[in-house]
Amino acid sequence: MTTLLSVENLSKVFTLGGGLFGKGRDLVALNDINLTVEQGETLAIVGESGCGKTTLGRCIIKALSVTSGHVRYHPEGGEAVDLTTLNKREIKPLRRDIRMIFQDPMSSLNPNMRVFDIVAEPLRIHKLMRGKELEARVYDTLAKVGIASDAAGRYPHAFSGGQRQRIGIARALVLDPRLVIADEAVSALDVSIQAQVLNLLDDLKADFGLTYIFISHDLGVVNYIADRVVVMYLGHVVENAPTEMLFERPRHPYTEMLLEALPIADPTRRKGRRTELKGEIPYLGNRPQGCPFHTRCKYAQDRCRSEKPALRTINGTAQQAACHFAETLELTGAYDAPQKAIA
Amino acid sequence: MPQIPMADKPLLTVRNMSISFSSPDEADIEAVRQVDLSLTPGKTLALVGESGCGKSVTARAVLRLLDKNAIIPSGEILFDTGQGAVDIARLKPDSLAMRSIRGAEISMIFQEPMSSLSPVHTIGDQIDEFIILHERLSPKQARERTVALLDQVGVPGARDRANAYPFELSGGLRQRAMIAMALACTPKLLIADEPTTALDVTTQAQILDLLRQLQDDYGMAMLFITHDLGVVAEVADEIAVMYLGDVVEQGDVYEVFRRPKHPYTQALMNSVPRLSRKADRKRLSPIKGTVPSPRDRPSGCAFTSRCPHAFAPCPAQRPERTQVSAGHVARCHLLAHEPAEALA
Repeated sequence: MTTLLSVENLSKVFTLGGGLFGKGRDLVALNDINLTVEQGETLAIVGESGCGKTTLGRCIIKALSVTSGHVRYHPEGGEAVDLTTLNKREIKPLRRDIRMIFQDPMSSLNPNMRVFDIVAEPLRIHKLMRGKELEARVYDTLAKVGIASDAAGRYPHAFSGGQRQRIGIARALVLDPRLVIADEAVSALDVSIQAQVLNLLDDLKADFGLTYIFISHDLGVVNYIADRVVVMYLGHVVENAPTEMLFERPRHPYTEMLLEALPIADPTRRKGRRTELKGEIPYLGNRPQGCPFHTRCKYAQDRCRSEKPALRTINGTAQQAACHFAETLELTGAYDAPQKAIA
Repeated sequence: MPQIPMADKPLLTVRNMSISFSSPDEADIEAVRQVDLSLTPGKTLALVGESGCGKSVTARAVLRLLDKNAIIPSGEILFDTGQGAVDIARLKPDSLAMRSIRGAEISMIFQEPMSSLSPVHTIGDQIDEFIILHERLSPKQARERTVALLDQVGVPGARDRANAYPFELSGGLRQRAMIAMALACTPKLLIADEPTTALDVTTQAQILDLLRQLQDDYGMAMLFITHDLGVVAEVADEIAVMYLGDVVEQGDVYEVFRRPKHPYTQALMNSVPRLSRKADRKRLSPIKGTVPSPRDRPSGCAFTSRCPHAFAPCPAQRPERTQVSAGHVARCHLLAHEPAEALA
């Protein structure tokens, strides 16, 4: 496999407040993120709200500037380029390769534009084609996502949520991208529509030879669609592993907690009382010393409170975790979870 | 074990209830068609369906919190007050009788605690007000009760947090404050409308635990509205599946998950990704098309336009409630027409 994109030591700090009379407070949204995206894989980024998964996606497409670190992209047949160092003009051709799909299909489509123009706009901005050729390309792309061509003259409000999401997908795909970043792309949809869109994303991946970064909080969907999963907590990557290894035996206690909390659509696997789930995500502004997760971790020791664990490879496998005790902890996965006695 | 008085006697029975919305320049829309539900003390009924299926409207009808243009043209909502049954459908929404039930006997928690709590009052004041409205207590006594309630629903430092405004609390704590308010008068029935949808998974798990714990403690009945089959499997004793205003299938949660009989229920369950290893992973089989508007609903079975098994009687003739097994009913022509196969 070849690497399509690598994120190296990426940090993002937001400065809050501040102004005339002094410096604001720093909020570290992303802390030293390292990860790679291989050509053709679906990489999921999961975590709860505020963990930095959306910020990471936005830093990759350069919707936000990074504070430090690099995002190296490998264009087809070319040298790797560091997206963070490019200016607006230099990055424009690369924007054709990396596209984004957003969560809320209503607010991400311009209500004053017809569907045809929404999908055609990227082609026009990049001056790639016009006239008949453009028309054919737009109708072709709409057909691929399942929107009939006679609907192209209508406005977004005339479509249901699922159809709007298809239009958003068409807009992302019309430039024939290589990497698509889907930020909670199915979270706002009803389950039956969500299944349609997941299948569509699957089919398009094969048709277009796409690579996905799939940002989501829904581990059930992630298990279905992803090849590899990155788990984030408070701006850190705490685990990075192939999907099946992660769900079989997580190596970070936070991953275990997420899997434990996941409701399963089968009453015979009802989990009963989950007393182990304690606490809430701390405010980003007062990130704990040491391991960011120690305040909620039931395995926490003294070492966790003082020393921050680095992300490291576990037992020479493809699984990486940032936990001092990753090798020794016997954490529970999500497949065939044993039934817990109800306390 | 908690004492569940007369567990078999239903607390609330909804019989043949319909809800219509009128509009000055359009024909009336029947949002809910002839729904039958019953709620038992100590048990949870989950009302499941996709957006627009009428699940929230059904719950709001029980509290008579519907918009002014909504009417309940037929059916009854019988609530057992302890001194005989009251038909809530016949009460005026703003009558004294209804107001003494709403909040005190039947209480509700909503999806978005940020928009259902007042942003300009502390949570303590809001809960105090609720208690004083329903019971003759002094403000001081009410505050004592409030602190005890907040403590019970797991708000740390309850006495101080009572002085906090909603924006000062996290989503999980806000939802806990909502629950404390709903429980302030120890209701017999708690209606929870998507109470965990806006929360993160670990917080969701904590809130579900809390609701189960409180149900054990108080022995109240719960009507739980959600679109998430995972949450249903976690909390429900019984399930009622709604589609476009119809309850298409209902019954014991284990039974319905094991043997879903209505094509919509089956399709819904096949739309959820299962937690399975890659080798066992199956492609999702989504329901084709989208939910039609209630205006275009077929006069027969509402699911006709999307049903893979639709046949002759479906578009025009509404299927009857058919008993599949003890306490498990579905509305589908297949069950009546091919009883041998369907019941196998």
